[in-house]
Amino acid sequence: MSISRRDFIKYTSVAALGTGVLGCHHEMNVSKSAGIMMPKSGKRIVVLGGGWGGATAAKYIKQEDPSIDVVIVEREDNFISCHVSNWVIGGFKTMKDITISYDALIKNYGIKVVHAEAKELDAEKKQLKTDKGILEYDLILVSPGISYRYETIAGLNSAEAIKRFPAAMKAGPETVMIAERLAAMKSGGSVLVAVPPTPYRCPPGPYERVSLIANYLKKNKPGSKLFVFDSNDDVVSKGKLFKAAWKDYYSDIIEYVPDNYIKSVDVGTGKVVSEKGEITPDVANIIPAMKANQTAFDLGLMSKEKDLWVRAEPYTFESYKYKDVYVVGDATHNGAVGGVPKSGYVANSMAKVAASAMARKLNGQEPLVPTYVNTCYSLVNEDEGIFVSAVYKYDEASKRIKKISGGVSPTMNALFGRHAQDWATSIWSDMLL
Amino acid sequence: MINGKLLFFMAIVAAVLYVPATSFAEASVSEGKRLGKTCAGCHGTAGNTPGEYIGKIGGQNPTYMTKALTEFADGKRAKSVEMSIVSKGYTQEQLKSIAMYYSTQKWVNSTNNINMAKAEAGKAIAMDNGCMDCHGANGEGMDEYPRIGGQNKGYLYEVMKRYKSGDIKSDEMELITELNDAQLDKLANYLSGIR
Repeated sequence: MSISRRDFIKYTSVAALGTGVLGCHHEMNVSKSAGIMMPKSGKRIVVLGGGWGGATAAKYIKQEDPSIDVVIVEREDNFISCHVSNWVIGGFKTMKDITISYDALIKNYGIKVVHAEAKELDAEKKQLKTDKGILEYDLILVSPGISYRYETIAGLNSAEAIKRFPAAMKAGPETVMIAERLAAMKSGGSVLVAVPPTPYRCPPGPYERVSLIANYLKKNKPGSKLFVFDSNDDVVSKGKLFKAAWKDYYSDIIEYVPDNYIKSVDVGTGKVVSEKGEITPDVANIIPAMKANQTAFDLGLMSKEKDLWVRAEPYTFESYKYKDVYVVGDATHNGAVGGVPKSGYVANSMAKVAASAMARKLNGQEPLVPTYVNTCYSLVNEDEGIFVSAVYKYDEASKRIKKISGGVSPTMNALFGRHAQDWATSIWSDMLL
Repeated sequence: MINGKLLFFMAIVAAVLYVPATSFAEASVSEGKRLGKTCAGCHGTAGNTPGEYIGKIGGQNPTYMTKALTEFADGKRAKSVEMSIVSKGYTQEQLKSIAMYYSTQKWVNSTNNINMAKAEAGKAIAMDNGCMDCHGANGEGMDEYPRIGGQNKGYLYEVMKRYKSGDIKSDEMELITELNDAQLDKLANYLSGIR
């Protein structure tokens, strides 16, 4: 393994911010040993992925037992929230509003953050190989999120096509691209949002985006049209509520076409061919079908050859494939864990269950009976919100998560809109502060 | 053979070994921690939400909080739609555990912006109506009276409106029906600003 001076400084400064156990001779180790970085001295849990699941797990492991060395491996410099990213597309929030650094986790809890890319998992030796070096662990939690299955739409699987038809269900540059293209579009233009087949990340996400793009067009681009091509036969989440809002506010803007998946795209002309017809929109947001993040495949976490999601048992979220490897969040297999939506709140809930189980395991204790909740708000314009909420339990008979109670908001209103904002700041603080 | 004296002695031992209510309470806090961690997604870690329209629950009075959670579950506070749905997912005993757990957490005062002129006026309204007679000089609450000093401003305002409209029934809060929304806003500024 070679190590650049910049990377070397990065590790050592990370270590210094942590427990401070890495003295000079350990720093030497980084460069001399067979690629092992930050050698393990006591109990250690590695958390792969610093998103909703990973950040929550890291913090709650430390709250459960501060003596456990917790190392987050994350390729991005900062956390960028997928939730609220539609508000950026809608033109009333900025990327700065949804970007949060990992500094508080480092400072407040002594969590270490290594910015690296996971390459290989040796579940026998308990080592995670990254592009920056090898990390040893006692237990590892993997919360990798999703990848797009670009190959399911002809013509989409190239860097150029992805740029022309961005998905933006991972908040970041693609979010900005869509916002900027909407702003640059002339009045009377056309926009396409293509909704992927289930299961996908954030079931209400595409429909909130549709609402907020329509709201933006209504105010800023009169005469424009928004086409919604849905691979599903109806609005997947909060359906009645979204459709009521579209009817009340955007009936002359939104054209919703169910059961209409995208067959192909042409990067040269911008033409999109769907099951029910062709369109060449001025701005296109094409969200392809999804699978667990490619990293989960690269690490060999799939139980069966054709699996697209990682099977884990929901009592502790230990994977069925490997002992001492835990998986939470959107990447989990619905059939294995039970019928929970791929939402940030569920990832946060799963992470707390896993964090407790992992910390207890390292201390020779049995896991506690798990408990899970989902609550998720969407805005239909700048002010008014709607939500879905549910409480789940672990079902002994099926060994899966089962819903106990749940429901949606009776209507849209401004108070739910305020709750949507508070929800975001609350759950961000629960993960990252 | 077991004689009467021995039986009597065994009964005494059994009575002494019987786990009294205090240790049940202790177990309930840990049960509340197990169940209540998921509340933090909306209410913030340890119940300390940084928001404005969601209530702080860390350090709230357990008697009040148990009562409120029970009323949510029973549909008596239907305007609190989220809580009406969520609280139905737990048994009465579990709701009590969650309340007990959050009551052991540290109360952290709201950081919402306060309009000082409104807060001044709100203080006069609070004094005139004797709010602090029940809720405590600093709104710290006691038993069935919730902690309101340092609570989030928007949450206080919305809840007071529900008492006023009768959506939440309470004999003690009856006098709030005589106040208008502008006065409730002033009260919310005062109460939230007690820090």
